[in-house]
Amino acid sequence: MEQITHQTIIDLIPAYALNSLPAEEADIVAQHLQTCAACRAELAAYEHVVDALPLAAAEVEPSAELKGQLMQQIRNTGQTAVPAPQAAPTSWQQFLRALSGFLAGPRWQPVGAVVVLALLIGGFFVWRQATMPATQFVLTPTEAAPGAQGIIEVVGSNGRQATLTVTGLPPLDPANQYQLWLIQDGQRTSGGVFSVQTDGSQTITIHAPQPLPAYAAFGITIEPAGGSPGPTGERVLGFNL
Amino acid sequence: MGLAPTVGNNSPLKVDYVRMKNSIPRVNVALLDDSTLMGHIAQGQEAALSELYDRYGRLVMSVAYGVVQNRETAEEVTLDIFTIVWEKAGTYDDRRAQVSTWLTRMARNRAIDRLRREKVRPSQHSVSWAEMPVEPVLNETNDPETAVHLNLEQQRVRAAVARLSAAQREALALAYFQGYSHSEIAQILDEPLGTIKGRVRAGMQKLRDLLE
Repeated sequence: MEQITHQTIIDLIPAYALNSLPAEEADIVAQHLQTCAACRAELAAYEHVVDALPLAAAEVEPSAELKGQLMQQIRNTGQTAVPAPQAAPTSWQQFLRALSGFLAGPRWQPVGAVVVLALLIGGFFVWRQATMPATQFVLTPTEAAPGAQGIIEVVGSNGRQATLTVTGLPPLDPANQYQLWLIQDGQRTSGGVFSVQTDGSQTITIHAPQPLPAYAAFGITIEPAGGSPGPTGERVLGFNL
Repeated sequence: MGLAPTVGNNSPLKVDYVRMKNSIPRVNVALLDDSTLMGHIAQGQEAALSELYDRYGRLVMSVAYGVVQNRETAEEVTLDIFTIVWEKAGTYDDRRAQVSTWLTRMARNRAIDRLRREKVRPSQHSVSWAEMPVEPVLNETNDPETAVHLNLEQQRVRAAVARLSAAQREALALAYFQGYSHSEIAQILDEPLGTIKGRVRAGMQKLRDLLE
């Protein structure tokens, strides 16, 4: 009986992945999936198929005006959910919430508006310095490339993704490339190997094993094309705590 | 040499933001992978959203049109999807789905919701699959790597769909684009329910084999 049930579920999984089962059958499949790893693997395979189907849709070009409409719309509406929702409020945010709640009472409203405004203006820069997470690191040039500039900007919520943008780095001969190093406890991990464009600029994406703020330093060195296991060449940009 | 981090604050990671902003060029978003692009959108960079639209606007529109079969409504759905991306980019999790998958899932679901809400599901269904063979057409994106990858994937999936029987393609189109259940498809095509179940299952199995 168990075997029959399992086979019945297996037969239903393609339609379940398509979301085309009636509710009763979908419930039965969902229940079975909770306890059957084989069926979960089966479902994953069919979900992969469903996710590929849009690529076979007949192509329809949106009108040329649609993009302009989109950009206008986002400028009008602003951004309401930035960034990831799990971030805990800072102590400053908690204080502001408590204060605004206290001042929201009718007799405090006129005074409250002035007080809050003054607090916001006066405290903003102090707060920014004290609480702003280190999401950007400016790299300092060495004597080997005095005109170079570089910045690492952390993006995304887990802190492990970032972009490195450099300018003013001399283009290298094809036998060499620049390599970014992420330095923690004396260990150097490669953050990426890159060449620069003819104007000396480049942007690369970094996928770091640890959140970027956890690293004590960053460095960019000149290495043989393809990169090295550890830095061997001259350092051109760096950031140290 | 004016870009050294500020020293003397309570954290040595503090940097001179004003001088930095003035002296460092903004990231070239065209060079970013999709996932990183989402991070920049979450930080409110309009250029990043513009780039994402260039990469996937046509794909989202095509899925929406495949469902609603109406150009105006499909454009409204497309606009909705990218507005949601702007507002919710911070919630995107690259461990759960690729950006293109995230976008097309949203587009399909939202378009089907729209059909159900407005009760305008077309009685005469026109199959929404691309015709085969197709000429490679690069999307209008600044990122050639993404465009080439997307185009190759489109060729591969379309080739697989083209190898299904016409009846399987029709049943899968009704399930995927219109969100119809087995019994609704059986009713529309005036075929026995068991036949439709078998057709959908066989079509999906064949696609799975071809796409693996």
